[in-house]
Amino acid sequence: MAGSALRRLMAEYKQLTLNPPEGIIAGPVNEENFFEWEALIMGPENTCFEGGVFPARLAFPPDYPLNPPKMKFTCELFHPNIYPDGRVCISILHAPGDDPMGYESSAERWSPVQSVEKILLSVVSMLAEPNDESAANVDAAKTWRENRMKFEEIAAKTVRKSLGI
Amino acid sequence: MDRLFDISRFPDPGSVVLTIFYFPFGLVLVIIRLFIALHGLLVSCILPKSAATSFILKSIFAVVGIHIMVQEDKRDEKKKAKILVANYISHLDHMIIDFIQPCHTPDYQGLSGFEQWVFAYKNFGISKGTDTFEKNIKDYVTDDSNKFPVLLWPEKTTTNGRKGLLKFDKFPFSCSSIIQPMTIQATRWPLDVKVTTLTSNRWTDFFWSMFFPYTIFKIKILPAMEKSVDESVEEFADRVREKLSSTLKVRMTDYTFEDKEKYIKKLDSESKLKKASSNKKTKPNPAELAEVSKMAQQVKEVLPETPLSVIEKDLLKTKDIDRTISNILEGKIVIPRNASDSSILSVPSSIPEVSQEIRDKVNTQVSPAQQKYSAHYFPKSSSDRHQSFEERKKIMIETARQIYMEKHGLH
Repeated sequence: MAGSALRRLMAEYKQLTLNPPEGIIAGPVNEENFFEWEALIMGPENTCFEGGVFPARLAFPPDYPLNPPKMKFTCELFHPNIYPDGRVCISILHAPGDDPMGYESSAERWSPVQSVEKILLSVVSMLAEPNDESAANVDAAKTWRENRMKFEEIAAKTVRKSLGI
Repeated sequence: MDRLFDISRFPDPGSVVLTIFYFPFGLVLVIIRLFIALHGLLVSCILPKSAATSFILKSIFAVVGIHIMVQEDKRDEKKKAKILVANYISHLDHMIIDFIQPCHTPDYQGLSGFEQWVFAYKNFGISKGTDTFEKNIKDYVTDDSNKFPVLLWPEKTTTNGRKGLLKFDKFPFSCSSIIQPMTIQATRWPLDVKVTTLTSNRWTDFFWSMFFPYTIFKIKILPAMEKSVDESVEEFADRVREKLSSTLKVRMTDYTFEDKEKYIKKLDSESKLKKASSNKKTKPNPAELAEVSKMAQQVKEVLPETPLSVIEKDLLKTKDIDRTISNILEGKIVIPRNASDSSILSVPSSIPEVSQEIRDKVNTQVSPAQQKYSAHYFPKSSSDRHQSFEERKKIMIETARQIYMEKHGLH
């Protein structure tokens, strides 16, 4: 089981090394454990997260790609679809069976044809367009909806913080 | 390239061991021979330069352990060459050749007067620049009152003389139309310890020659070669070079003496790097890193205010959670102000030490989110892959930082 997961992860790592999507870097934290990855995601342009570099961890299950990895930002991100502890809540990270929110079509969910690259791209578009209907951070969703100015201010602070400036 | 030179004097570990055993004898030999060599120096000072003096010196050198063997002598008495050219294998070459064919050797490197005297170089004014130097040699050669030819090394630097010839400098061939080529090769007895190494100087070469029982220089004197009228200097140089290489049975290479200097620099910087990484114990292996980051998390749970990078740095030194905690609590560790952002795992540790190499790869023309941070290839070894990954992360963060600072006018 783990062997095929390893092979698959290695193939994805190679793909992401040689031809990564724009503004994304991902790979194992160290190769002793191929099931623990690290990713750097650039805040998408023309959004309030522009310019930031956001580090995240991906934890793959031993039966990957049958089950999706878990993704967690290791920096603070005030965002409707990110739990306060950094966990990312998007449909592609949910296995077809479980649906905590109850309003995701199974087409958007995890399946073995998805990949790390697709997850990270989904995360980028999530950063660009928060989905305040399935809020993981209610506070953030509320601010996003009602006080956009404040949300952008917090985002700008996050960007600076992520760059260590 | 590396086969042209010897990096180490000793061909194999066995010879090093034997040399260590031999060392006391060698040292005694050196001391005795040093006094004999002093006599040689005395002889060369008192007696005028002539064939007889050369013979006496040659005998003294034989006692000192430098044996000279002439394997071929095709000197043509009718053709008196004013320029000798030879391949260059050690800093003792010119003395050896001087015993066979009395000659003057210009000082190429601008040595002190003392060194010129001890090693029998003649000052042709190299310190006043190459132009004066070359003019002086040409003047000397054309002046018929000077009896002795000048020895020049067209290779300009030493090789081991066993694998190849460097490219020739044209100058020796432009001085005179008659050239006396010679070849020289050296071996040691009983161990084949090298006469010259890549970076050795004349004093060490001389020391080792006296240290080992016997050093044998084999010399072949080839017939003098004359430049034909319709031949250019380059063609003449090439012809002599071919002659030398076929006599020595070595290849002609495209390397020049400048390549040798570059090669030395390269080796030098490599060994410095090696030294630096072995000195620095803080270059941990991935397993160690994983261990440290695990411990760092535990420390972090106790002291959530302290940045992870600081914790990890101290843990690398202490390898002990309790000691790191007490170090932090006692204020023994300086916590940098801008790293006080505790929530970022990887960013702060990489920010303070952005190397120039990374800076060079930063492209601030395109928005960082539109750049691809890819590697040109996927390395086979896991450590190389990891290194490439770390480097790309640094490039990305540095790019983002620079663009952000430019955009917001921060510095």
